[in-house]
Amino acid sequence: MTQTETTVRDALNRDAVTALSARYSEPDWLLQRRLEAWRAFEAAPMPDPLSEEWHHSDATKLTLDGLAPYTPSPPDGVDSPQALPSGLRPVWDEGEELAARLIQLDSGVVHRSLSDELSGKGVIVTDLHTAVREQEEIVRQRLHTAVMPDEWKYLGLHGALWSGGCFVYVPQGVEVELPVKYAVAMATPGAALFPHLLIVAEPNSSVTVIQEGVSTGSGGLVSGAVEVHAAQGAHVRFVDVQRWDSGVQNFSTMRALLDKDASFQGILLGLGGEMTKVRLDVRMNGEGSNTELLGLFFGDGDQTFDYYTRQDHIAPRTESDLLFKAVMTDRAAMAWNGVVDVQKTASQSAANQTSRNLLLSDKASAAPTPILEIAAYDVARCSHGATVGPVDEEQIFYMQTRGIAPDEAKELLIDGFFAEVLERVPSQRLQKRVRAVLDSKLGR
Amino acid sequence: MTDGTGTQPIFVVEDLHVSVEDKPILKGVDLVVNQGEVHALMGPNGSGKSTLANAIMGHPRYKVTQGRILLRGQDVRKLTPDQRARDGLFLAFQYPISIPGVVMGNFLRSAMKARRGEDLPVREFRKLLDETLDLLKIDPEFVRRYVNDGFSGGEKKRAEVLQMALLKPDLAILDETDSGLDIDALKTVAEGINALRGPELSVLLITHYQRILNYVKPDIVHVLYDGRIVKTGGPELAGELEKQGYDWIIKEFAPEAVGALAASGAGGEA
Repeated sequence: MTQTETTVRDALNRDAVTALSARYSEPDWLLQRRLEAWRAFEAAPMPDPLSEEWHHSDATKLTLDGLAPYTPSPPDGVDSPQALPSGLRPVWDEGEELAARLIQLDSGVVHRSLSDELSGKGVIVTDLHTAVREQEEIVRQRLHTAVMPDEWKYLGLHGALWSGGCFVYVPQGVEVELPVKYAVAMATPGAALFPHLLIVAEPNSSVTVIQEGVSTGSGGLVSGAVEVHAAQGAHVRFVDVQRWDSGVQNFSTMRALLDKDASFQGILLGLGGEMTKVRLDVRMNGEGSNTELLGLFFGDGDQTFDYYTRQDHIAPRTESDLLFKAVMTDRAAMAWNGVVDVQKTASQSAANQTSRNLLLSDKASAAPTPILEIAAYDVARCSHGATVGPVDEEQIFYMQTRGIAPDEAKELLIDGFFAEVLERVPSQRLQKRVRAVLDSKLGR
Repeated sequence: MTDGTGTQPIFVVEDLHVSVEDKPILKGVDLVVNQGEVHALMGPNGSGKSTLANAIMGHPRYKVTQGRILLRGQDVRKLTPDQRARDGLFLAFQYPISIPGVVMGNFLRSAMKARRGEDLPVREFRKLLDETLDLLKIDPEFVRRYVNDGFSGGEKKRAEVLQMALLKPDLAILDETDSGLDIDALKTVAEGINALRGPELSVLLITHYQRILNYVKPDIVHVLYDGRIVKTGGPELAGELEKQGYDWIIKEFAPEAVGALAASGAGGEA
């Protein structure tokens, strides 16, 4: 399958926005929102490489030159992994038991399937364009209400040019047991993708969504957004598997809004990309809501990973826990700035942040920065901790005294280091695939 | 010291000098362990007992500056710690380090594979493991936990003996395996050691206190002081130390050090 022949190298301008909107015959309110986002994009300056926010990611590498705002997908769709370009087939997860599967190839969604049973219960998993047509009111009320296009320049671009996308809707009281899979596969080198995942979980519902980004080309741009609305008592689990190739610049803003007693578990698996800059926020607006954020990151070569997280405790008795584990080798760099904000209204809340960073080479680096901002007078518990360092020589020695050679001891330690997070990934097959990526990065 | 049986001793330390960060700690230790013997190595704090254990295993911080360490007549000084372990040396640590993330069961299998040179079939491994857990009164859940992570003092010591039992070393060094144990845990650990000692397993039992020697009867008792073995005798020597403490040793071998040691509180504990 050759994508380049059909690729339209639209110029990056306002016309591209109106053309995209027309392509999908969008309602006027959506066109207006896109144009508003475009204005926000135009008004925002390119990031200042010297600013605090860009201390850990090289803003001088950002460029919009030659950007293709829309890269069409094959029109006939894809109904089997064999129909995908060979390097992208694993994202299909053949044999995996899934509630729904949605595959975006370049800018468009080429496959979607949902079990009849869930469909009968009112569950919706579809691309965002279809959702706009078929669930216009819900999308209108929710789209870009958690993540705003005016937050920074590339989100403006995202708001103006998002395409494909995934809409997950779970009605009140419905529990979706198997994971929903949303794969974003970049087949065309140099493409710019703007994937958008919108999850609406109605009261007392539950759902797990696995988003996976993969590419086989030689670079491109991804500017994505994830919005999660968890109503009272809803449980949302979200896994982000980031496996872009080593030429991709990857930007993503993810935000979950939690009502009373809702819970959100976010698992970030950061493996690929040249430059990754992610913002992940959870707003615990409802009393008793809780959050767990887990991260596993493995950088090699010249990869950079730059994460900003916020655990915003707004209502009383909210709880949050963050555990990020990173291994960096070669010249790879990891940065994490994590804010716990316990507001005055969030009495009796509890928060924790833990960042563990293992450095396997002298040139690798990690800069974890936990930040506590506590305005409430009666916090139940607030703690944070961060470590950076090489493999513990005493642990290696201990294992050696049991006959285990140093190289194997080191591998066991690295596997063990990741196990705590990896074991909680809600899919055995995905765990296995992530392990395979880790192995290949370790040269096994 | 000579080997009275005429056969080759299993383990010999010859005139061993060891420094830590250029500070000499061991100043000429000699030791001959014949097959199947249990040697107790006693001595006041700071005499060099743990240094000897670590040097024998090849810890990189402990530099052998003189002397030899022979296992079955082969000098192990040039071998890495893992090679020494595969050849049959074992150290039960005084303070076993925890390794979060590494599951005990997997760790034990990797270690056994390394020691035996081949993987043990799962069923055989399981059977051996269950028997040993039973012997040491360890909860089977234990193997699903991370290595030494969140273990109580007693659990850590039993885990060390468990590893010794599975790895079947020729010579096991037990570094204060008795310390920090209540009497029941001590009896369990002692029973484990007694069940395993024999022609196949020789033991160097390092202890500050005489207590464990009530349960594990040594063949030979040595007293290490100021980096040298200053006395060697039968089990009765341990009894003597029990009654009199280490003061008489200190007086006899380093009169000038009495004041300093007494001041540090290390003198009269045994």
